[in-house]
This record gives sequence, structure tokens and C-alpha cells, in this order.
Amino acid sequence: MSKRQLAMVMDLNKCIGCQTCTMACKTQWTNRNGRDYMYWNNVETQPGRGYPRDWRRAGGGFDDAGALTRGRVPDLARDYGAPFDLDYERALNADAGHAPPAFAAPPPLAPTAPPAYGPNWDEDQGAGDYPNAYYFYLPRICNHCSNPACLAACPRKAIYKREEDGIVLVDQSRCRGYQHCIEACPYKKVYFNPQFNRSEKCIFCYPRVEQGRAPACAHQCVGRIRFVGFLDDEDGPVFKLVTKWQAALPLHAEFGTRPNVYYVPPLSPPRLDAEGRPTGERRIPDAVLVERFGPRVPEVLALLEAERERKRRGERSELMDTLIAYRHAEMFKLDAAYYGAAKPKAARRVIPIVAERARPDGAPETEA
Amino acid sequence: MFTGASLAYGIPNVGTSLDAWFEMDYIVLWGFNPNVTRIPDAHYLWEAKWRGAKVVVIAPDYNPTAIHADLWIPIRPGTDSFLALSLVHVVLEENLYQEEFIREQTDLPFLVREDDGRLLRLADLRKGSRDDVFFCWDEASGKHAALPGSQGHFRKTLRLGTLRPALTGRWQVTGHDGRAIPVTTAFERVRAEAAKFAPERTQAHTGIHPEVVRRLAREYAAAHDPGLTIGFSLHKYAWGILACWGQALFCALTGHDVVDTEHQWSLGGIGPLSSPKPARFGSGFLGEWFAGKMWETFLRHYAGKAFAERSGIAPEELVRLAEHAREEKWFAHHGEPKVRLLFADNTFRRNKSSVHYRKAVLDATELLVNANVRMDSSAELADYVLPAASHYETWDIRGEVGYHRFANLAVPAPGLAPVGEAKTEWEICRLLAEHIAAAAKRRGIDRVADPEFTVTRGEAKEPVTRDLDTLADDFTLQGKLATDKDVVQWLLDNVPAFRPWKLTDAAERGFIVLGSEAGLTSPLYADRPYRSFEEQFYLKRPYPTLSGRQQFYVDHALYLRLGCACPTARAPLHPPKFPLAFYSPHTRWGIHSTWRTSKLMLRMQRGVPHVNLSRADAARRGIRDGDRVRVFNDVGAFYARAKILPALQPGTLMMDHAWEPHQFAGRAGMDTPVAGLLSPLELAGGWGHLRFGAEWDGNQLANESAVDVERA
Amino acid sequence: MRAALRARAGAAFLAALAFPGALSGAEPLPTIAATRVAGPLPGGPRDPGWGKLASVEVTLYPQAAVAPAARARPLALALRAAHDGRTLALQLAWRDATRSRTRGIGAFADALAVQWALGGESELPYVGMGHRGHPVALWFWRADGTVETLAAEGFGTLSAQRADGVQAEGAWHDGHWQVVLRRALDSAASPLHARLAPDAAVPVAVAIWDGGAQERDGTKRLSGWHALALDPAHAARAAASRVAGNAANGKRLMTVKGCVACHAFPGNPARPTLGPDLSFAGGIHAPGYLREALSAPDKIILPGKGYATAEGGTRRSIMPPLEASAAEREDLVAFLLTLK
Repeated sequence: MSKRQLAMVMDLNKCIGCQTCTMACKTQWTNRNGRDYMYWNNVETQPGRGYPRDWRRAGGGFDDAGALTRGRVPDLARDYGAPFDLDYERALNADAGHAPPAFAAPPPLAPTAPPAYGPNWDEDQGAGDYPNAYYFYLPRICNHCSNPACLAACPRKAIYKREEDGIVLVDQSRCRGYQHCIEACPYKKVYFNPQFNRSEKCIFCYPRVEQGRAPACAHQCVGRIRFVGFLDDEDGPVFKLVTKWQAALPLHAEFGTRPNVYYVPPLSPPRLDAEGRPTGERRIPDAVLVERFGPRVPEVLALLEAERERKRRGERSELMDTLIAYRHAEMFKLDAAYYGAAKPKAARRVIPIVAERARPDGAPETEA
Repeated sequence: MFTGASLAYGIPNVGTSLDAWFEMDYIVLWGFNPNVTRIPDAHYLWEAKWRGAKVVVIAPDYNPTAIHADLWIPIRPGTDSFLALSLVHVVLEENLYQEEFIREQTDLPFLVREDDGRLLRLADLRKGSRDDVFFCWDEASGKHAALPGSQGHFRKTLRLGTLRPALTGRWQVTGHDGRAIPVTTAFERVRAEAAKFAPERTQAHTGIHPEVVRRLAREYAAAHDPGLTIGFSLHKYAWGILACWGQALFCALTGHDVVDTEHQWSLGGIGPLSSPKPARFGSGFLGEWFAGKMWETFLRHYAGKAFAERSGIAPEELVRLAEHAREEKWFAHHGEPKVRLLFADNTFRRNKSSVHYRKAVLDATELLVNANVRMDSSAELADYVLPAASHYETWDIRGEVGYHRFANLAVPAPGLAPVGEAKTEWEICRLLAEHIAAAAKRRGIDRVADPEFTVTRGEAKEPVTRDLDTLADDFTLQGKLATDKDVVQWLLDNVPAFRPWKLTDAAERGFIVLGSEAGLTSPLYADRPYRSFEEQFYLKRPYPTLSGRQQFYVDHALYLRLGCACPTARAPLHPPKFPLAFYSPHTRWGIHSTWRTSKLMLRMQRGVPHVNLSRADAARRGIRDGDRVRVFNDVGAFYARAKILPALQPGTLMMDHAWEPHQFAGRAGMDTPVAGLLSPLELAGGWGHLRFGAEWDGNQLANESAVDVERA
Repeated sequence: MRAALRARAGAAFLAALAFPGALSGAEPLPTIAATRVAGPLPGGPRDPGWGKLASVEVTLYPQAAVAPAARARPLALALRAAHDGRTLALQLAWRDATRSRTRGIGAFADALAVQWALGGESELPYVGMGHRGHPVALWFWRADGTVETLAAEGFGTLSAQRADGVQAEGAWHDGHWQVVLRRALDSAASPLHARLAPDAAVPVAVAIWDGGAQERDGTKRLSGWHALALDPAHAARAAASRVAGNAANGKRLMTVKGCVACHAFPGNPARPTLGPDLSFAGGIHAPGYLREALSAPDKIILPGKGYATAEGGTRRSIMPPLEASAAEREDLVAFLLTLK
């Protein structure tokens, strides 16, 4: 447990599945150096197989007795989706300088290797039978858990949780690429970098956070669905949504890792009866949401409707005003000054590494 | 173009800036998918919902916007005019309409001749006088009276003064030949037409239960500040014009502003950038119909009785109507150019009957030059590609359409060298102008008379000349506008809507905030959303229509002939010989085809074009998710991968748009089986405000073809 | 925490070595004699020159003391050692039906480690990566062709070191790996590099990983300590170790003394995980270590979950003090030595 914990809340009633957050993270961190297949932030359509495929059944986390269980490391092609390239040169310039291409001659512009899966493969599919199909978008990042399975699984203690804000990080100088953390994370939010042979994951954009800026995914979100702040900050939106109003719920809390990303569950339009008239029943079955966000879902949905009704009648609602998210300054409560004061100068001490170690160029360096 | 809005308002792009959603209490999104196509602004909808607004989505499929709505109403594709008229029906039947508003702001009080169905005009009453002055029956004086504000009336106001125009009744007036002319009001005609479209009857077309229709009409009418936003997809059907016109009527009757079709800003002051002479500005939709010989695929696909039954004319007649429109110069068409300079238009991606279109155009073109930032499906076919600097390499400013009050600036990074031989589009045009002028000089050509346009000098009419000797100077305003940066600076200096922004401030932020002059029919206030037509609602200025009002009676001969003088409904034209209605909503993964083939974007999908099938249609054909399939009809075929979507209505095949043809086998893109088609109602011209220009031109129709699909 | 890491030179090195708390002084380790060659050393792994040299069979046992344990059978590895006075060359050969040469997502390469004891305070390091104050040096070869110079001081402390000049080459043929490691005898440039002076025998152990079976980290098979003698004189001095105890009685005592309650081993119908799995303890550990583990369990506490408590700031093993006579201890040790 860290002294303080940063957390994020996402309002699934506002997520439009645009993947702007995915691209923000991708272009900031994971579009190079072995990370192309990683989507530290991904947005998947649920119900759906998700990214990586079937992660909800891939194992990991803690059992009811609190013992760490090991899942599997997802397969690149089948589960993550091998990040394909396109041969623009071949498809578009093959006949450069010659007679115009016969329409059938040049190959179509297509992935150089046909993908078996991808990070958004089942976009907008969902479940149900027409006209009562249903789906919603679920953005996911590392949950920076308070009981991280990845941290528990690492025999070298190469994964650590920052005291000052609870961000969970992989120490790149300690990791030897055993991938136990990947097996152990039940959300499959740790990834193996095959170029550096180390594990990598969402870092909660801590370089931005330490300057008082929200993580890129949150800042870029055009749906304005994300809230970032310390769980204990009573003036902040995260406290209000998670603790005061209890309108934000953890994802798969039964995994036992105590995640620190919370979700406001989505309402949905009513089912239509056989004649096409709306019934009184929401089309996303409660069971689907309860399975993901826990037994309080129906209560939270009722709360959302009740507070919305208050606004409709012209009354005040702190919950609705918080979720409306008028200003970035209210959505993201971060403070660069806090980090100036609180960040410990000494490097973190765990089990010491043997004294002398090598730098990449072979010259020795002594441990801090 | 939103031709239904052009009919009603004289302006195709009307409505509100998208932040207005936040203020509304009842929001209807019809044929519109903002979670996908208005990504930066969709949040206003869901924030409005948290303020208590009710959101209703009307679409054939359970689209990504419907998932957050309070109600999704599935509708059969292309039947929107029936729903619109049912809503009108309910409003009229249940007396939910706002009399004062429609008396003043619409042509519903206008007198219509019962003998020939035409509007009563001054010319009917006084020989040789104006045909653009119209009448009402004044309840105050008990006789007919000319209404101010129409195109021909000397008083340019909608203020009625002491007039009290009747909405209902039948009377007689004396024509200029002494004979009695029976008249009634446009309102009576509208009501009689709407009476045919009770929700109980339109259910057979739309698939929507009448209770749903009645509830929608009542809730909208009773709402304090409702909004009805429609998507351009509706105008990809032949009767989208009727649907939109009907929606405008519904809004007018309930007294709630106007239908929202993405309003446009007023960027006055740009004039000097264009030639002061009239330009050979040609009709887009008709130009493409002729250039692509699209009547051939039209006649093939729509052969048979169904077309005539549903439209009121035979297919051959439509072809003649198009010819007629050209001959009458209702729409400008200057023939097939031998040399085409193509800028910022992936025409061979976009045009329907794509393989057929491509061949027809290329066969007739001697030289195709494309200025482009990338090798798109049109550049591939060009004789020359002039590499253009891309968005982040040139100065540019955006201001068209008006989702919100920001005009983005494109600012090149300092010190950036152009890639290869790329030049900015401005420089490309300037160089072309210089070289054309030089070549003309070498050949001894200074001016070319253009007989299609004349100017009056004193007593004489002279043909307009195209001045090749001064082309470069004219283009650059005598050398003032040499570079793209000069142009942006000039715009900031000369367009009132852009004031008071300085280039340095603007470049730092990357966007400017439009000033109050940007509003076209209302001021753009700094502190609240934009809403159209304040000048009309509050200052009582006329609309740019023939009637000077929201126009719901159009007595163009073609409209009378087709029985569409006022809003009505017609069935979609999908030929019954193929079972699936093919429609293609705007993709999430590109700005049309820009970025469509980006590696990062394609990795967010499946990398190759896919078509969406309902579970039932796929199962019936033994097609599974991921199978390679062939989509075909009697116009053409293409290959793609199947994706099963529970959200899709059986009987439809949906494909998100703008895949590049070069992503398909044999370069046969998704529009290959889409037949040519024009909406007959969009072939009218030379009437009132239905005159070819920026406010009136027809549409290429993407969503009226029927196809089938099989495993390949 | 740094303990004195001064290398010890000379014959005193081996003589000074003992097992932690060995009751009767230094105990000899099984010996590997390196052949001194006059001419050139054999070359690559498949060089027939290797076949002419005597090989020692080293048995590798699955690591079972700390989770995740290896689920594999003991493996015989053939080791040949040769030197020419300047360079030491080792050839190690073992069976692996699947060649796994690449690391990747969920994929691990076959690998081999040769572990050298570094001078400690008269005790041998724990054979599983050393223990606090008693570091080990390692050469770590992977089937992707890389070789690393590493050091460790207990589980979880493995770290890369400045290269000590070791070279490696591996070849897989017909279900067998053959790997040659080669290093100059005098190129140790840091206290954490293996010392290969010909004036003493050096304790050495071997571990291999089967990448195809997802082995890495602690899921490995390892040998106990052996003594590599570069000078035949040192090899001759080694003698087999003898333990006088009665293994059969030792087995009975495992139940009487309550060992069965915490430790899994063949013959225990239960599979408790409160303490390390002892199934291969006899193969991996030498008698001295086993004696020490019985009498002073706090000395080396493995980092398994729940194996230790922190009492007043000190880590204590949860293994209770063993109440047994010296003869009983020898019986227990004798039994444990049969577990392999």
C-alpha cells in the first residue's frame, strides 16, 4: 500500500469509442521500439472478446484465499494481434514510370500478413438479437492496483508501487524478462517488449503527472469521460465519484488486486417488444454489467437516473455536475507542487542488486 | 447538399453550433451518428443528458450513438419521409402546432389556387405584373392581401402589421381576366397531404409502431427547447429532400426553430480572392452524372415497374429530366473538359458506379493532373501528380461549415523543408497561372471570350473575357498573395468574422475564435451557442426564399407534376430484384478517405475492407464472421470480408464509407455496385430560390441500390 | 549490506571452504577434473576433439524449493573441461527434444548457466544463486547466441556485470544441445568475476532451462556444487563424501519429527507447501548444507511465500528448532541424500 493513491474514473455513459485516448497513448509511448503491438490504453466493445482476446478468461489475479494464481501469457498473433504493416510501395508505386496500371494488375493495399486479431477487432458487435442488440465501450489502462498481482509475481521485485502516489512501475534495470507478471496480471495490462526483453506497461504518464498534467489518455479524451485525482482528496472528482457518491465501480473486483481505475456503469436505451414499442427494461442486461462491475450496478444506475431527474426539474446535483465535467481543471486534480515536496530523493530500496553492475557499454557502474 | 433545407429556408446548412445541444431538453438525432462523425463535439449530447435532456436516435441500425440514447427508433432505410409526415400528421391532428409562429414565419398562409395547384400571384390578379408577390386571406379585413417580405414585395419584412393571415378556409378571388379563382391556403394543402400519413398507416413503410410516433411528436412539441439534427445520410436517398422538408415542416409547426443540418458561417470579405467575373461554376451532381454516363447504370439497375410506381415517373423520364435541367440551364454544365485539374477531391474513390464512372471519365479526358498530398485512388490514375505539401507543412485556415466557433489554423513547423518536390497548393496554382500566362503569350493569346457569360457595358452586352495575359497577376492580387502565408494573413485582415486575430496569436494557439460577424442569419455571440435565424425570428427579416418565409409550398411545374408541391412521402427506390438495401454511413476511421489507409487507423479495424451483415442474413447465406464475400448486383461487384453485427437490421447491408478502391481486389471499390441515380425533385431549377449556386445543387445518391452477398 | 568481497587466492581457498556450519570442517565436493592439453583446445561444440576428453556426468534436478517450481524430470548433463594453461574451455551437452532459440512474448529460449562460487567467509554460497554475503558469478548462455556475465547473492539479486571475456557457442543437433564456454584463466577483472586460477579447485554448479517448456527464472534444473580442478593434484585429493547415517530410520524420523507436516517429498502422502519441496534435495545439496539446514534454519531462508516471519526486525524461518540427537540428524541427512 502506498501513502497516497492516484486514481482514475471513467464515465461509460460518455465514452463514444473514438479511440482518441488509444492514439494519444500510442503516439506518445508505444509506436516504436518493440511496443507496436502494445496498447497500454485500449478501448474495447463489450460484451466482446476484448484486447488481448479473451483476457477475462486468461487467468491471473488472486483466488478467494488470497493466493496468487498464474494465468497465461497471451499469444501475439491470436490474442494481441500482430501489428501489421502495409506495403504502400508495392500497391501504389509498382508501375511508376510505366503505362497506367491495368486496373486489375497491382495488388490491393492490404496488410502484408493477414491479421488474425487486433486491438479493436469486434468493434460495435456486442451481443443480443436485433432489434435488441446492445454494446458499450470499455476503455482500459493499467489499474495501478493496490494489491498488484504483477508485483506479487515478480521474484526479483522488479515491479514496485510508488509511495507518493501508488503508480505501479516496472524497474527496467531489474527486469530480466521472466514474464511472471504477465501471467499474473488478470487484466493483461503488462506486456513483454521483445526488443528489450523486459516487461513494460502503462506508467500513468508519471512524467506528466509530476508536472501537474493529466495522463495523455485522459487529457486527450474528447468525450470528456475521465477524471484523475487522489482518492483521499475530498475536493477532487475522484473522491466524489468513488467514495462520496459511490457511483464509480471497480472492474472485476473479484480478481483481488484492488484496482484504482473506476467506472460509472452505462445506462442503455430500453428493449423493444415484438411490436417495436419500448419496454421498461434497459437493453444491457443487469447481469452483464454486474459480472463486470459488481453487485452495486443496479443501485448505481438508479442513482444516475434519479440525479438526472433532479437536474431535469431544475434542482442541483453535485453528481451530475461532476460527471458533466465542465472544465479540465475540475476533471484533473493534480498538483506539481505536491511532487516537488513529496517525491523522495533516495532511490527505492528493496532487495539490493549485487554491487557492481554493467552499463550497456560494458563499463561498470556502482549502485545508487 | 441538404436540399430539403434549401427548399424550406433557401439555405442548405442551418441550425445551431453543436454546443447548443448542451442547452436543449429534447434532442432528436435522425440519420445522424455524432458519436462517430462529430467526435470532438459529441460530449455536449451526453452532458446534456446528464442535465436531464432526453435523447432520441432514429436510424436503421443500433449505431454507436444510439447506445447512449434514451430511445432508439429503428427505421427501414429510406422511409424517413413517411416518419416525417407522420409526425406532421400527429401535430396537425392533435393541434400541437403554434399558429402565431407559422402565420408569420412560414408560407403556410399563402393562398394556393385550387384549379391548378399553383400559388396565387400578383400576376394572376393584374396582367403583366410580378410573379413573386403572394397573398394571404386577411381575417382582419376579410379579403386577400399581399404579404410583405416575399422576393418581389417592396417591403422587406415579415412584420404583418395589422394583417391577420388565415390558416384555414376556402375563398374566391377575381383573376385579371375577371374570372373567379378558387383559393385555399398552403396550410390546408399541407394538412390534406399529411392526412394521408397517419402513423397507423406509415408503420407498413417504416416499421415503426404508431405509439412511438405519436409519443415522439407530442414530446417534441411539448419540449421547452428541443432540437432535431439530421445527418447527410438522409440525402443519400432519392427522397431525402422530402424527408428533410417534412422535418423542417414539423419543426415549424411546433414552433421550434429549424431542423439542424450543420449550419454554415458567414465568411464575408473573401470576395476579392475570386475573380470579379462570373465563373464557370458547374453543377457537381449533374456534372458527375453526365461525365460518368451514369444514366447507363441507372437504367440497368432500376429497370422495371417498381421505379415508376414509387417515384411517379418512368426511369427513361428521369434521364430526360436530367437532360432538360441541363438544356434549361437550371444547373450549370459546361460540357466534358478535356483537361482536368483535380484538387482535394478523391473523385475516383467517391463516385458511384465506380468502375463504370472511372472508365467513362478517363476515356473522355486527355490530361488528368492531380495536386495531392498522397497517392490516393485518384492520384493513381492521373497523368501527372503534383505533390502538394500536407496539412502540417502549409499555412491554412478553416472556416467552412460551423460545428463550433473555432476556425483551425494549419501552421507549418518553423524551418520545415518541403518533402521532395512538394509545394503548397497556393504555389502550385500560382505557378500554373504563371506558366499558362507565359504559354498564352507565346501563342499570341491574351484574352478569350466566354460566350456563356455576358456583361453590360453601358448600352451593350459583351461576352466576359478570360484574361490569360494577366492571369498570374489576377491570381495573386497583383503580387500581394505570393505564398500560402500571405493568403492566411490576407484572410485574417479582410474577413470580418476572423477579426481581431493577428497571425502570431493565431499561430500560437492553432485556432481562432470566430467573431460575431461570423453568424449568417444571427450574430455569433461570444457567450452562448449559435442558433440560426434570429434575424428572421426577432428582426422579422425575410428568409432567402421565394416567399421570404420558410417555404412549404413549391409550385415548380415538376413538383406539381410529381405531386410534391408540399411535403409528402415516397417509398425508397431499392429495386426488389436484389434483397439487401445497401447503405454506407460515414466512417469513424477517416476524414472521408484521408487517413483511411493509415496503418494506425487500419489496425483499429481489421486491416481490410469489411461489410456488415445482420445475423439473420449471414446465417441464411452460410456466411460467418471473417469470411470473404462478394457483394454484387447488376451494376457491379466487389470483394470484402464479412462482419456480423447484431445491431444491423435484417434486409440491409451496411459498410462504413471511404475505403480506397486500391484496397480492393481489382481496384473495384465499394461503390462499384452503386447505381447512378438522381432525385427528380433535385432536378428543378429556375424557380424562386431554386437556382443553381452554393445554396441549390443536387446530390449523388449512395443509399438506394440493392445488392446481394455470397461467400467467395 | 556489502560484505567483504575480497577474492581469496591459493590453496587455502578450497581448504577454507566449508559448508555453512559444517560440523566436521571442509567436506569434499564431487570433482570434475579438467584435462590439461598441450596443443590447441578443442573448438566449437561439435568439434570431434571434445570426444577425446573424459566427461563427467552431472545430474540436474528440478528446482522445487521456491515457487514456481520446475515440473520436469532430473536430467543428465555431460561436462568436459580442458585448459591449456591460459584458457579454460568447457563443453556441456544435454538432451532437449525441442530447440527454442528465440525469446518473445510468452516464448523463452533454451539456456544454460555455469555458476562459480566466489570467496566467502569460509562458507560455500547457497547453491541456488548464492546467499547474503556469499555471492556467485555466473556465465549465462541463451540459445539466441548471447552470453552474459552475471553475479548474484541470493534469489532475486541477479545482476549483469562487466563482461569477463567469456565466449560461448551452442549447437543443437538431433535432440541434443552442445555448448562450449571459453574464458581466459586470468581475465577476472572484478571481485564478482569467476576466479579460475589453476592453483585450486573452484566450486561450480550448472543449471539449464528448457525454453520450449516455458522455463526461465526459478523453473530450471540445477546441479549441486562440484569442484572443478584445473590441477590434477587437486583432483586426486577429492574423495567421496560419506555419511554415516541410516537412511531408513531417517525416513521414519521425517514423520516422527513432524517434517511431513511442512515439506513435500516422495513418501509423504500429503503435498504441503509450508516449507520448500524436498523432492530433489539430495541431488542438489551436499551433506553439510543439509546438516546446517536442520540445525540452523535461520541461516539461509529461501524467499518462498510464508517461509519466514519478521520478528522484531529480524527474519526468522518458520521452521521450528529440530529436537534430535546427533545420530538422528545423521539419519535424517542420510535419508534426504536419497531424494534425487
